[in-house]
Amino acid sequence: MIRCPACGAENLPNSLFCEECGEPLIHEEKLMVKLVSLTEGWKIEMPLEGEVIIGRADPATGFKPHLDLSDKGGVEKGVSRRHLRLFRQGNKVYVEDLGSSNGSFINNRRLLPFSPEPLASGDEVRLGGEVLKIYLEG
Amino acid sequence: MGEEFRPDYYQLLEVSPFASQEEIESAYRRLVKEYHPDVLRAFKTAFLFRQLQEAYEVLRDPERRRRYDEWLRAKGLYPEKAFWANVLLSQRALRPLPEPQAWYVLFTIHAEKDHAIPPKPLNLCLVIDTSTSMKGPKLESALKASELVLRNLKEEDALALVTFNDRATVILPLARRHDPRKASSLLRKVKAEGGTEMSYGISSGLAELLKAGNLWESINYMLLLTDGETYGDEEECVRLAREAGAKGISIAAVGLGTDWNEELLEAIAQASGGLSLYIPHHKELPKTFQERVGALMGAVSAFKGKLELGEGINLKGLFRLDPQVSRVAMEGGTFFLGPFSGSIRLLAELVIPPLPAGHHPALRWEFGDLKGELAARGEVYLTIAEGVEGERIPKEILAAAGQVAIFKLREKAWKEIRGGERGKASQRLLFLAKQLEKAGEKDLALLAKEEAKFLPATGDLSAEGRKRLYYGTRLLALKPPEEG
Repeated sequence: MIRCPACGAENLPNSLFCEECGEPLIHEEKLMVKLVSLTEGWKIEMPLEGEVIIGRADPATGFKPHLDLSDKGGVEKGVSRRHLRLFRQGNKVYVEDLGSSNGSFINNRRLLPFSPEPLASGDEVRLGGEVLKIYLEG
Repeated sequence: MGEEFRPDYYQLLEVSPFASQEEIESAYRRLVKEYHPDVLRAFKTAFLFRQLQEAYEVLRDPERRRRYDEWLRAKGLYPEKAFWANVLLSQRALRPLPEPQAWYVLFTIHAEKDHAIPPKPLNLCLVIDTSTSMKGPKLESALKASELVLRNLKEEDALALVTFNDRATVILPLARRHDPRKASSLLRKVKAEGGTEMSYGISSGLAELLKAGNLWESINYMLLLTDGETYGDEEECVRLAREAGAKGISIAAVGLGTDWNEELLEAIAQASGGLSLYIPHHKELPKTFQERVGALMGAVSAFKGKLELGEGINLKGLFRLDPQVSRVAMEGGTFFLGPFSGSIRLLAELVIPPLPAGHHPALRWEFGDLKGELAARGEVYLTIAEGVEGERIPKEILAAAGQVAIFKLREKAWKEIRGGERGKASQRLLFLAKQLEKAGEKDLALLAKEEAKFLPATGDLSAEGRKRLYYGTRLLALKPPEEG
């Protein structure tokens, strides 16, 4: 059984709302992701809803990543247009290289392209020559 | 031949059998992102991906799809008309647990676009309360509303009008194209006097509607108006409503003012696949009548449904969400949904017993018209697998379950009031108030709080509070948990 955080009533596992008081039992907390550039010094914070794609905008195709590194030295550092994405599955956050030219690394370990790996708050993620420290805040 | 198929390929791709190849492609592209083994590796659910692949491999190829459709047809699982129910699951897979767990299935029954089913003519009966309390402006409004309905019918529509107090009187027998002047003069003679014995009205209204003979060819509907409590014939009313539902006749039970029994009107509505409505002031009657009849004019048929549960699986509740939230009254797995226009969502709350890993037949479903012209059938499988935590609940299911959660709180409060459990009922109203507030329904929340305050002393709600809460809570949704 699972206990309702509001009224303490017992509910069946996987119940969506408390039978006793109507409180939602499935909580998907709002999650903020904070990115700190260790090479350039900038900081940016954004909500992680679904996914965050990091890369460079491509005016030719109209593609715009959620985080555009074009004016943050992305070209010089070899950041691809679709370089990396962060996404949520349930309560976990994953990081996935999107087949970038210069690769992605997590804590100095290379990510296989299109193979998501779990990300923990404080992990260091490298996109080509750009090094980001990523914090997750619930 | 000799191909091995599974009956749920369309469901796995979350499309209907009428989907175009393009729709199948785009559904696959959307789902493959959610299902991809790279993504789901962490959840050890590669099999979900495999079964999606299997479905796609068959449906992407028009020739294999044709063979699959034939295979479904041979099993009676292929819809012959453009009518279908989309199925959405709260989770595509559940973990094996040593205890029972909850699972939700949302059906959206709809006619396929681009495959219009021709609407049918109306077979309509207005049943009007003419007890003493209706005297004056209430009766005038009711008669005015009736005249409006009559004038706006199409040529092929049939109408009857019955009044009731201690007995029933047929004012306008069932006919097409009533002479409006003659009808008006008959209506002007209607007087309000005597008591309220609703079952006479329903029974006489049913007799008129049954005169139509071939009920399969029309939309059969009774619009029942009352402003008071009926005298001791409640059970008979519900019995008649059930009889009506079984014949494809639905009842919209309209309560005027605050002195009628909402639970009775709702039971009548449920038993016949109709609905119940609260009209605070008689001035709204013409508009309400028009809206109800207007909604019927686009309707296609009266529908019923059937659910069969897999072994050990229990149905905790079945709720319809359209046009308003209500519990679906089921008898032997069968239920009436009334005339159908647009789409109807149904939420099934299931209790899954401890089951081993694997695919389990969970639910067979069937929806169709009473004549058997339109039918859609399918099977829902439940996948039990280790390590499938953290799947995202579809927002459609959260919204539906939220509406149902509010409905159930209100339902529990009523039951507690009826059972004299004042303290419990008062607490329940406070819970309801909290959830209403979250849903942004400030007025209703305040009302629930006020009523909760007086309930321990009075043992009941105020007449108006009762109606406003009962009907107000059926048209809104709980806010689903914040998406992050």
